[in-house]
Amino acid sequence: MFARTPAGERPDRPFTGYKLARAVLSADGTRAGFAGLTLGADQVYGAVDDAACVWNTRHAPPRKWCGCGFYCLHALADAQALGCATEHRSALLVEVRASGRYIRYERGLRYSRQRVRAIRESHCECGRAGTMLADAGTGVIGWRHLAPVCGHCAAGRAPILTLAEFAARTGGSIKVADSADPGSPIRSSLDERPLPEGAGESPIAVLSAEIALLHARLDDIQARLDG
Amino acid sequence: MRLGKVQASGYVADVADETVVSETGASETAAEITKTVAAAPEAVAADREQASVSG
Repeated sequence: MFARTPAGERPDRPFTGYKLARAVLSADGTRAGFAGLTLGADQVYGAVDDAACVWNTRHAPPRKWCGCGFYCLHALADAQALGCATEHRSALLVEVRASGRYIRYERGLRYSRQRVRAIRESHCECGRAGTMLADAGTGVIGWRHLAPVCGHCAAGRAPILTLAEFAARTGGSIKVADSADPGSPIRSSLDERPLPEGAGESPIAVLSAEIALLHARLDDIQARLDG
Repeated sequence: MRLGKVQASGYVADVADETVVSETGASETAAEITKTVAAAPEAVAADREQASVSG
């Protein structure tokens, strides 16, 4: 038998949390927003927004036996760790205020209302800090996904928005935190490091080259066996 | 990635807060309360509900 957890909390101010989100830009380029990474990947939300359940519009998120609602983590370090995953590398790490109805977990919250307060971190695929946002080449109806890029990798990519320009298009009061600023000491030291050979190349291109080499070797072995 | 076990549930009013949050994550001031939608806190009956990070 399990002990019952306390319920019915009434904090006097919203929670601060951290999460990863994809940056999106409207088709006409005038509005910006965010999209979730997995369950909420098709749902675009603004700087201030209310959660909606994608499966059942008859209940209000977060429903206990449903996965709906906004999510965030209590600790910045946990969000940074999540951002290391390959599939999350192009996401922005944002700081949010979580409010409304909520369910509190050990490491984070599921909740109904959210204010995105700051963009804390973004990373270019080459490893440098992302200072701008470029078309990621994917999207959902009406919205293009944006991916962070550094000044070196931004050339020739469009549309390009600085993080501040992106924040302004969300219609909210989102700040670009110092840690996302390339002038910050940590970022500067990271950016000054020489990149390893091949860094910045598309991982798909690298994999394709490896596969082509493997095929060539297999063909060579087959030819020897046939001979 | 998991959020872990449920600890509690509740309701907290939205606050339009222009304060930049410190590195400790604590907000410095609470300004205008902009949303006071009454919503009963959802009761938590089980201890082992898990959630994954998604949205």
